[in-house]
Amino acid sequence: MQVVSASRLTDGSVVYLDSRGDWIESLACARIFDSEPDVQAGLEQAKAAIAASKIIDAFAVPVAQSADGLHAISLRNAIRELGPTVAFKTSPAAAARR
Amino acid sequence: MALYRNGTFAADSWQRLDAAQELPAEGHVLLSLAEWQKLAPIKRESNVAFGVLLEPGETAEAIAADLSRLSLVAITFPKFTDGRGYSTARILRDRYKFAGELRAVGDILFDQIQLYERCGFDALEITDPVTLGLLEAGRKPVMTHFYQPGEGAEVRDSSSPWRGRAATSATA
Amino acid sequence: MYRYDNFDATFVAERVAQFKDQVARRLAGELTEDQFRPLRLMNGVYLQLHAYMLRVAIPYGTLSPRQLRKLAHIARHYDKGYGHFTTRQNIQFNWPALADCPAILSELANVEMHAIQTSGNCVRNVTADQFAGAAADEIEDPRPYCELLRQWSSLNPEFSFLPRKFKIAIAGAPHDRAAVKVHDIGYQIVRNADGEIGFAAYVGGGLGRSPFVAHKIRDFVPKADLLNYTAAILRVYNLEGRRDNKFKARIKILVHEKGAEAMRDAVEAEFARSRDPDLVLTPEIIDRFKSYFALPDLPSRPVPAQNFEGRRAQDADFAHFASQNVVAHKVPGYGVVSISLKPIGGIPGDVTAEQMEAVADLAETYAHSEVRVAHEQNLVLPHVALDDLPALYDRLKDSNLATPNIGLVTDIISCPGLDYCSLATARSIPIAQRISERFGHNGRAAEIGELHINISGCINACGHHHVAHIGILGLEKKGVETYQITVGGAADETCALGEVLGPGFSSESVVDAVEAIVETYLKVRKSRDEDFLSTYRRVGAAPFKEVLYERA
Repeated sequence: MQVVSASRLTDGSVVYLDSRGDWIESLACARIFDSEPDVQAGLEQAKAAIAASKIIDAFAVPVAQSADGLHAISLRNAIRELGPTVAFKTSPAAAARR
Repeated sequence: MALYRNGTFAADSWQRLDAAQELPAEGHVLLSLAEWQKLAPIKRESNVAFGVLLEPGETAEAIAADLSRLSLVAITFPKFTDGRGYSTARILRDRYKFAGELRAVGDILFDQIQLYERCGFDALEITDPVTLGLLEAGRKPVMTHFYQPGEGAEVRDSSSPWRGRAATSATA
Repeated sequence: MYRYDNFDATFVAERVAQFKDQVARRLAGELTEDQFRPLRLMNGVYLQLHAYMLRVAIPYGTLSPRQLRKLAHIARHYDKGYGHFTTRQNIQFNWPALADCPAILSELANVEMHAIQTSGNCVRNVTADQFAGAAADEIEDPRPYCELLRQWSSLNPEFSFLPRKFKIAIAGAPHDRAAVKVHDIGYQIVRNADGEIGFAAYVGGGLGRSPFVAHKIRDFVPKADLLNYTAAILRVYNLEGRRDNKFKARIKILVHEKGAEAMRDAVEAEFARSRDPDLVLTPEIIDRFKSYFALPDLPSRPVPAQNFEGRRAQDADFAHFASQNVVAHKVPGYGVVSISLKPIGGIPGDVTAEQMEAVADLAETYAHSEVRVAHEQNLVLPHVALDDLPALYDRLKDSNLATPNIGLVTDIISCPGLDYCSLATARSIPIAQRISERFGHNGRAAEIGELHINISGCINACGHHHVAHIGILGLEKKGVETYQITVGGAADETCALGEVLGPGFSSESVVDAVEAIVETYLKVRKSRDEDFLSTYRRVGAAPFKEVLYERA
């Protein structure tokens, strides 16, 4: 099982391809590709989005179903999905704004 | 492809000759370094204006002794990120006082135009459509203040000897 | 500190306008990512795991309170309220939007700051000793020369597309606090036999996957020739450095493959042929640049400092802070105060917007409005009257900035690692946090004494693990983080690369392994006066290998 991920051009956010062809922030709602040809088709869609200056750096992310839902398997992709594993200190004003 | 010379598009009179082609009796002929080095001395004295195209790794030193016979030196940038040609150009201009046309060839993009000019290139062969579009629309690079001596139309700034300004901005 | 004149201000404003246009063209699809990437990198904009990252230049680590407040504002307004100080004396913001970067750069320009050449294959921020201009052991302040190099290398048309990035550092004292021997060019300020001051030139040092200690290629470069000599080195590198393999493209590989002697000959030949009169530094120019960095007018203070001595006698915590975080100033009655950004269990180098503002206030009140960034990811107040230290200390404590651990085992250098960085192969920060917790209580770190631990989350070695007394390199093996340990590295004038002890450790066991090394050191040291590095140099790696690998 894989999903296709990329970074959004304007702000660098981690995004995933969904079944409507949109690039969304939730891996749980991403389109799941079960076969290699399907993944290639997903990456072709990504190429079009790259050409249209929507996203950059697309790649396939192996995922698995776990007790709390669908998640990336590798540590790197899991950190991309869930954010830093360390609790960085943020100031209240900035936290409220984001 | 278009030739952008001294800030404006120009016709290109130079003909690239490969090994198999016969040297014409006159005109502007651009040769590879190898072809130039093979050329018999007598042929170098013909009515032809010669240019040499340097590929990455080919040095200014290789043509230093021949520069009085050359009207053009073209330097290839295989990728815009390969910056060897900038040093080659400066050596030709500063050390060997080459006064002929210095032409950048290859992956020449809008955002590096000023770097080429400031290293002594007066002509750019451009194929990138976006770069061509910007230049055709009259766009010019925006930097007018420079922290180091450069070639071309720059005037030294009074604040420090290594600082310069684009000549147009200084008079503005 | 250096103040922009109209020329500098116009230059930076033009650069911001240029980048704004480049971003607009990128967003409009007129530039491909391949075309845009080098442009954004040369303006400090990376793409990391979660977002873009903006690295702002802090030339030679010198900041004013006004600039620090602006950084706080940027953290709060465009980011998540914090920043991260780096081993290049710069600051990184981890969450800016690309579309906001031109506005951020424009705000920075208002306080004479920029992000020019904080990345890219060009000359990066020229770094210096963080105690420059204040340290008692200094021959001369390196910052005027750093500033001259900064100007000359900014958007240098010949050297904007080098084979790879290029890092220069200058140390002003015999005790090298700028790690000059692991730089592409390291200049050590020296005095020659005639009493003239100039630079010993080291070339080809660097860390990364092939670490090298630099070779000295000249004993003495006169001040007048600093720019021309640097230009000669860069020209040889630009023409001859490898471009066929990114991992072999640094000047250290050229020096290694060509040989230091041949490199010296090539540089000397180029220097002799290409000396540009416009780049010769006259005494007038040097004096002008020195005047920017003149020591502030420090009022005479009583020695001994009564206030300071009194508090030290009564308050053991204060005394500990003073002995650990304060070093001698060249002016009696003053000290150089380091502000540790390594709270126990914290993220090395991270500072909140509120802390930045607190430091800005303290710098104005107690430190003649100067702040420095150390390459060890700490801040420094370089000119503090010792009698003001008690008040300063209390206010630092209020902002959780009084950790008394400079140079100790908990003062860990760490790259962002896999928590942020797209190149990383393992996490660095959690390891640093756990080591800090392990040693950070009950006076344990002080008992251990000076011990530098550096952690890198990949082979690129941004965490300088090769030159740590104990270095940790995070790698990935079959999908699992693994940590390789080195011992015996040093970044100072005794520069040495650490020795790999053996196979790596899991994330779970690496802190225990570090503790076993430290415990072994405590057993074998002759006395408290023999620090970890001296002990290693006497006994070698064997006792540490034994405790890690032979104890069943």
